[in-house]
Formats: sequence, structure tokens, C-alpha cells
Amino acid sequence: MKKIMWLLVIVMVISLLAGCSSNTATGGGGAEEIYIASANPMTGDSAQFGDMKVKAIQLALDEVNEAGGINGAKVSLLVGDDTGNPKEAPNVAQRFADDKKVLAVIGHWNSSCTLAARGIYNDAGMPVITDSVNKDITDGSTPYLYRISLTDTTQAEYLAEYAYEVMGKRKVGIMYTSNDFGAGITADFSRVFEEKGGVVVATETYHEGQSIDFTPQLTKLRNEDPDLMFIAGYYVETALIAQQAQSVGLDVPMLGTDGISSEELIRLGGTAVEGILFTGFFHPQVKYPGTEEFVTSFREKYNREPDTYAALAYDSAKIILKAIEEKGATREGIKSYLSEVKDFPGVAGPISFDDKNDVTRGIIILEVKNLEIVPAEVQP
Amino acid sequence: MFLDQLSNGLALGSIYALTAIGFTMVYGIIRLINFVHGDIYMMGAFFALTALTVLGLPIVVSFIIGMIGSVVVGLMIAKFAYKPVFEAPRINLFLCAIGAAIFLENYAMLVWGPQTQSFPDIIQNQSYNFLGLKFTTLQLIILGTAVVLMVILTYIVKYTKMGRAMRCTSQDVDAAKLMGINTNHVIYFTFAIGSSLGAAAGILVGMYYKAVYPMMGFTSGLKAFVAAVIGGIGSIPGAMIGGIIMGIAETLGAAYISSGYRDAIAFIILIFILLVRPSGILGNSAKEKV
Repeated sequence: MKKIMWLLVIVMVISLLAGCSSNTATGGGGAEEIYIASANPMTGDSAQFGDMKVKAIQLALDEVNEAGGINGAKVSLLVGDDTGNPKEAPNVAQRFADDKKVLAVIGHWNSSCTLAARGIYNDAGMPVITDSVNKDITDGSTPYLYRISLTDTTQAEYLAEYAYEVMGKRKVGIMYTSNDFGAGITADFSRVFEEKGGVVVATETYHEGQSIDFTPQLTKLRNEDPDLMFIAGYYVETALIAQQAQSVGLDVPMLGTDGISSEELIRLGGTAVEGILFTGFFHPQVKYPGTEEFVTSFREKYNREPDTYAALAYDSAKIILKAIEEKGATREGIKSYLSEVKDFPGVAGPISFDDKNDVTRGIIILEVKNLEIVPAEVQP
Repeated sequence: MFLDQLSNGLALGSIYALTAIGFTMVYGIIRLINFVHGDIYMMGAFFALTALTVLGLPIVVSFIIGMIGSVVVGLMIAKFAYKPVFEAPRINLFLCAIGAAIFLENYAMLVWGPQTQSFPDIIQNQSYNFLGLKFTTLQLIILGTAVVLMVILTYIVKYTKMGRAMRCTSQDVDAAKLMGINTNHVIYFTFAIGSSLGAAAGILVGMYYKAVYPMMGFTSGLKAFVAAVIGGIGSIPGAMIGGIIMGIAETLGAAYISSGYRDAIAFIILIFILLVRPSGILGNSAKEKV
């Protein structure tokens, strides 16, 4: 028994040492190597989003390295795992902030993780590009943090306008997940939709991950007789909501957010999600300069279709690499490039940041048609 | 509207009942709050899903494989997690159950991944109308399975030799041993039955919601526990009643009070029933020896 205990202690100590050394082993490489970092969920419920982002960033780095690097220096990626948990995100952030060789960070995917970690990056003068959507992230207190996706407010405003003007809907029923994302987007959507003259007939909520039975809420919505159901949630619940809406006889068009922009939606929802409309920031068929090359090389390398987050992560990496090339390999240099960049040619559209560090871009409305995600016929 | 919500509640309630039956049986025999039950339920669903999609077996065979797989897991947990501490105070056994539950959840994430997997459409779901209540085929199957399992289990526990041995063991393990009952045998048998019931519930729920994921057992386990306590923990028909009451209360609460508080409503009912009848609706505290 004693022997086993000792063995366990030794194993633990070795694993700790190994953990430390992987952080510092390549330190002091100087000009030969440049490091940027990804801080995204690699395990846990949002793991697949982090996985897509890292794949896309790696693709951008490989392209630069194959072309000889930046002024002869190779670029490497350090991957951190925030597990999608706001308690873990500050640890990851602190590690990268303290590591002088890390020049910029791409991440956190979850809004709550970005909110938890942004102060640490800002204090260390670390430029960060995030694709989280919560509007408080760019409240002006963290000038080193840039956002490459739209805020939930902007997205909700676009969606309300699309629902009222383009789809011609007047009576909306809302299902939202009761967290910052769902509640925020619901409030903004309702405000704009009602300002335009529409009516929100019912607003129902659910707790993500606590119940997978939505029939009471959906039966209530059905009785209010809406002509549109707006779902502010993620793809797992949305797929289930769509299926259960059918079984309670709520047969109206559905509108969703970028939270359901994933192939998984179709795998889980099947024919029930046919016709659902939702926001996207990227689609392989909506072409900008470089989009086609990006999609082809992503497919070749990973044998998968790139999604919105992959495209945004790829653009984030490209813009950071360009900044290093233009302004030199320092954190300050990258930050100053980001603050003045105008219409950087990204694969998901040209990128500029406004005075609040938010990107200025439009949305694409996507649709599930014949069990595939395609751009909707009428765009906003 | 009311009748629709009542059908929703009955459907949800029969799912809780189905999960609670296995839970309450293990408690009735071994006096263990078996927190692994929810995760056995999850393992059953994953085993059946794997048999169905990866091995391409028909649904009935997959169902049986799911149940057998869960029985094996349940027996292993009984052997390695419960048996060593069986003579120790109950709290140790309880902690082992929580540990085993965490282990199974993470094991499933490692093997099958953390994402939600979809259960293929197998049963043609038709709608039936009965006195204004609406049911689908799968809902009827779930309700039917719960009732049939309740009857079979009550029969086994009340009228067979094994059942008598189980009841003896539940009253006094040492005395049962002295009377020549192989109590180890009884305990493993109880876990085997409990696990197969859990698996059956998990597979049916997976089929009903078309979703299987590693954490699916966590809230279900908790709800099954509440349903069992409401009905009188240890009582098999009580679990059935408790489950149905919870399902209906949750649904009507969500419909007429607020959808944000539906889980809170279930637990408020639990507190209320415990205040009025501490041993649950069908529980009988007099029988228990202290």
C-alpha cells in the first residue's frame, strides 16, 4: 500500500514538472520564433467550437510559415483550454499574460469567459481578438480587446428588422435560454420589433441543460397564435424545440441566432429544423476575396466544412500576422495596428474596428434547406 | 389548453416514474440512495445507441444490449465501489455512490465525447386522442413500460422466494444471513434488476427526446430521487405516483405560473409533502426498524 502511494506521488510530481516544462521549454527563442495563443474551450460542452477555431488559426499560421514566415521568423501557436468555464478562463489568461513571448491571444469563445479574463489581458497590455457576443465586453474599459463578431444587441436589431420588414411577420412568440446571452438578445429583439409596430405575443424561457422537455412552454406559445417563433438559444435545445413544436402542433416559421449556426443542428434536429432561418457571419457561398481559397484549403487539410467561428478565427489570425509584419513583433505594435486597420480583406468580409473596438460588418441570414445550411434567398 | 398541458404532464410524469422505479427499489432493499442510477440510465442509452448506429443492430437487440451492458456496469459498481464499504456506516456507501456517478459521467465523455448525440427515428410516432388527452405512440410505450415494470417488480418482491429474501435482507442483513439467506446474492440481484430498469428508462427517454448525452443522467437522477421521496421511498407503486405527480405539477407550473420556475415548483412540492407526510404518499414509516 505504501509503495503504491509513493508511486502515485512520484507520478503526480513528474506530471506537474512536465506541465511546467511544456510552458517554458522553448523560451528565449528570440527573433527566430513568434508565438500567438488561442484561449478557447477544448474540452467540455463548447469543445467543438474551440476545436474549429484552433484548426482555422493553425491553417493561417501554416500558410505564413510555408511562405517563409514573417521576416524569416516562424510563427507558432500555443493552445490553452478554458473549458468554456469562466472560473478556468482567468487561469489561462494569466498564463499567457505572464508569458512574455506570447504576442497576442485569439479567444475566448464563451462571453462569460471573455468577461472573466479580459481585465488580466488588459493589465498585461496583451492584444486580444474575441468572437464572444455579449455587449458588455466592449464597454470601453479594456482598450486592448477587440471583437470580430457583432454584439448580441446589433444582431438582435438586425434580426428584428429582418423579421418585420423582410419576412413580414407581426406576431412573434419567443423562447429564450435564461442566461446573459438569451435574456439580452430577447430584450433587444422585443424592443426593436415593438418599435416597428409588431407584437410580442408571448415570451417563454428555459434553463439550458436542466430540462429537455419544452412542451409546456410550446403549448402556451401555440395558444397565443404567433406567426413567427424566435428562438434565442443554442443548437441542442433549438433542435429539440423544433421537434417538440411539431408534436404540439406549433407550425410557424422559426428564426434563430448565430448560437445555432452549426451542422450539429441538422444532425440533431433532422427534418424538424427544415426552413429555420438564423444569423451567420460567414458562409462558403458568400464570397469575398480569399473565401474560396480558405474553404478549399480548410477542406483539404481537415476534411470538414469551415463554419462561422473557423472563418472569424482565421481572419483574426491573419490580421495579427499582418500586424506583426507591419509593426514588428511586440504587443504594442499589434495593438496599434488593430486600432488603425481599415477594411482588412477577411474571408468573412472586410474588417475595421470602430472607436469601441467593435467590428463593423453586416449579417448574413442562413437557412436550412434540404438538410443543408445555405444563404437565405432574401438577405437583409 | 388545460387538457393539452395535462397530456404533456402525464408524458413527462411517466418518464419520471420509469426512472424512479429502479431507484426506489434499490433503496427499498439496500437502504442506499443510489445516485449512480441516473448515470446507469445514461450508460444504457449510450450502449443501445452504439449497438444501433455503430453495429447496425435492430432496435430490440440494441435495447437488450443496452440493458445487459448496464447490468454489467451496475454489478461492477456494486462489486468495486459498494461491497468494500458495505459494513461501514451508510454515509461511506453514499459517498462511494457519488464518486461512482462522477466516474461514469467522465468515462462516457471520454468514450463517446461530450456532445449531444441524436437517437435515430425508429418508431413511427402517431398521435392518439383519448378523452381530450393527446398521446403519441412513444408516450404510450413509456407509460405502458412503467406500469408493466411496476407490476412485475411488485410481484417479484412480494410473491417470489427471491423477493422474500430481498425483503428479509432489507429488514436485517445479519439476521437474514443467520437464517441461511445468501445476502451477497440478494444484493447483486437487486443491483442487476435496478440497473436494467435504469437502462430501460434511459433508452426510452433517449428515443423519446432523440437526444443522448453524458450529463443526461444528472438531472434525471435528481428528479427520480424527488419522485421516489414524494411517493414514499422504497415503495414501488409510490414511485409511479410520485413521478406522475411531479410531471404534472412541473408542466402545469410552467404553464400557469412561470416557465422559469418549473424546477423550483417540483422541489416546493417535495418540501410540502415532506412537511405533511414525512414518509411520502405511500411510504410506511411504521414498518421500518430503527
